[in-house]
Amino acid sequence: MPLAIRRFERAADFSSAAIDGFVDANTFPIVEGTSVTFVFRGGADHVTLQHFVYGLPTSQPFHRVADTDLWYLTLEFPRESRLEYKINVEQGGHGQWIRDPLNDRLARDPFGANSVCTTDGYEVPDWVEPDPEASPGTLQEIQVPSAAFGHTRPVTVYLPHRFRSWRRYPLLIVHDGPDFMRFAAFKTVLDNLIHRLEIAPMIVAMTHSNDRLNEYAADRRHAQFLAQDLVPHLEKHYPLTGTPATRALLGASFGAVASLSSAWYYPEMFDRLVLLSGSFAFTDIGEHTRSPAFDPVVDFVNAFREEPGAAASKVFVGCGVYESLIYENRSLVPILQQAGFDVKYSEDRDGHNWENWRDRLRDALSWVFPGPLWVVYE
Amino acid sequence: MAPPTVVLLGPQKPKSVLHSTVADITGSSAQPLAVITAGWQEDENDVAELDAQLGRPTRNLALYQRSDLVFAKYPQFRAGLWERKALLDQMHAGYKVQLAGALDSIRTLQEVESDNPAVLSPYLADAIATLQEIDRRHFERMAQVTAEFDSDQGYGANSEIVRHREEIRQIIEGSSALLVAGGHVLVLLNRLRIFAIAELLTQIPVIGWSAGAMALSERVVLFHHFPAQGSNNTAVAAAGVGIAPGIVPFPNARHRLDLDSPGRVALLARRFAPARCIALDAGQRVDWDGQQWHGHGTSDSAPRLLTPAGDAVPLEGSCP
Repeated sequence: MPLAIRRFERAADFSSAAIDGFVDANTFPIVEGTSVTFVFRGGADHVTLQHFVYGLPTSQPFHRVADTDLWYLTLEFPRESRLEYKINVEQGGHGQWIRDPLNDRLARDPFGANSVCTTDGYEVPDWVEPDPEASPGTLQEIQVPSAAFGHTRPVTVYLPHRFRSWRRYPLLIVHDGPDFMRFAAFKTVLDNLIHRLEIAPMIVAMTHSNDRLNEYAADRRHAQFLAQDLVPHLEKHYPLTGTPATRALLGASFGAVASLSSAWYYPEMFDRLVLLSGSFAFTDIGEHTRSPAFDPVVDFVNAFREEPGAAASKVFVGCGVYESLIYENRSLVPILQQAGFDVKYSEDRDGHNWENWRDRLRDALSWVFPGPLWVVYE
Repeated sequence: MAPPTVVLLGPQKPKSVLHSTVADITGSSAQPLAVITAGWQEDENDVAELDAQLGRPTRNLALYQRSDLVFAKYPQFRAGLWERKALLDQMHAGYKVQLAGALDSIRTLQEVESDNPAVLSPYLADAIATLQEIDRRHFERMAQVTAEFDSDQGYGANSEIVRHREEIRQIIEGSSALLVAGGHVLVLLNRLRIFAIAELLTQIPVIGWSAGAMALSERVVLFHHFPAQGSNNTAVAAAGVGIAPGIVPFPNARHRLDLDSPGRVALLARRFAPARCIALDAGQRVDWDGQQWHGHGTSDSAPRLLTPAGDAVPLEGSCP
């Protein structure tokens, strides 16, 4: 069957009422198999789709239906795809990126929100929604003195439901923790997965940096902060098991670089890593082509690739195939495996965004700290 | 004396039927209830919520705490238990390798069986028989290791264990029913075995839920069809207390079992036959009257019997 937009064009009735009927009859974007039709209605001289799918031209022009105010663009995406986008509307020489007025589905991030489109086969995991049967953990705000940075750092500490001071817990340190909670439902995910016994009850330290592009770029001060300031402070004040196998670092993008580099600088401190869409830029020869912020990252990744050592033993690596870092992440996996790391690698049809990282959390957290679901029946 | 009664329940969250079940079983008895919460491990004494649900006096047998006292007094006993656990873990690893191969064959045969049932069904039956034999031999080996350990340790000659057993016996004799809560099923089972609880249960109704229900059965079967990591192969883990005969309980089946898959349901039913596989979700209950199992409730409130045809049918009334 022809696509909905083709049927509309062939009908050749472009009256305002007919366009109203078309808009009312469809959900946007229109997903028909692997064809996705984005639609904009409104006054404009030029309309483009601004998406974040690496491999496709970043800006793609919409087509106008006859002389109407209806614009559309049809693209092909495989099943199980999820993409975030905006629409650029140009009029009178001015352009404005807007969220799709015909699509209520939004994904928020530190810069605002994008519209979301998914193709057949993608489903929001049920464990990212609040579960009334899952009792919530609690959050504490603490200040951690840092010799590495010369001042105190705010850290949000998650304690699992049924926290008991006489038990011993594994420790997960999350880079950009507050953003993970705001944009990736991190606390809800922890509550749900602990309730479902899929991950061990754990203490989670959510860290934050106001200068992440520098501090997370394989900066030794950051590693020192984690290993010599934060961990000792937490182990002094919380009932942590305190062994390498029960300490994990998690980070996305530059946060993944910070995780891997910290474990590398301090071997036998952090035995478990969750690396999501890591910015693991490297060079085989010549100069890298990314921004100057990547200079120290490239130096670190090149050195790591040369000599991975024993930074950790169990690692989860995840990356979206629609992000530019897929090459770097795919390249990292065999290095880790050859160095003897126990690696779980996951690729998904998604981009460099928080909901992609959210969707990976079940696989990632149950890999580093598996729960007792095979032996506990409550 | 009325015949012993065993009641198995699903999880008690989000819907608890403990209060009504206890009232059914004990009537107007003013005697307290004995409870075992050893499956909660270090949280064994966190019984405020349970007491509130029951609304009547309880006496916790404190098996986890008692075992800690025994371990402290007899470190060699604890070391022996760890040694046995290490051995059982190795045996279980070997068993899991066998299981993987056997279950792969069965799944492949299930996929093609409908192409020509007359020809292929006997092969599927053979594969399931092979799996049953793997289960049986593993079960017997584990039982042998456990029996040898029990014999070597001489529980009956351990004065600390004997003292605790006597205290436990007195509590049970003064109680109207024994309640066995869920939690870590293998820890629970271990504590039940150390204090030989099975020998004390001849005169008292017993109510077990979730892991408690599993531990009371003859074979403890570990299961999860949707784990985030690793295989989803259902495995026989240990001999249970055995006072709930002829049944394999699957608590929280709604979340743990793929009950919409006829192949998976049929395999469970055929694999563990002649025992009946019963899915027990929150609020569901099945009773043993000494002769037969009886499901409580109707439709959604009734436990479900897994059938060899691949259905999960409400068990309303007596088990066929």
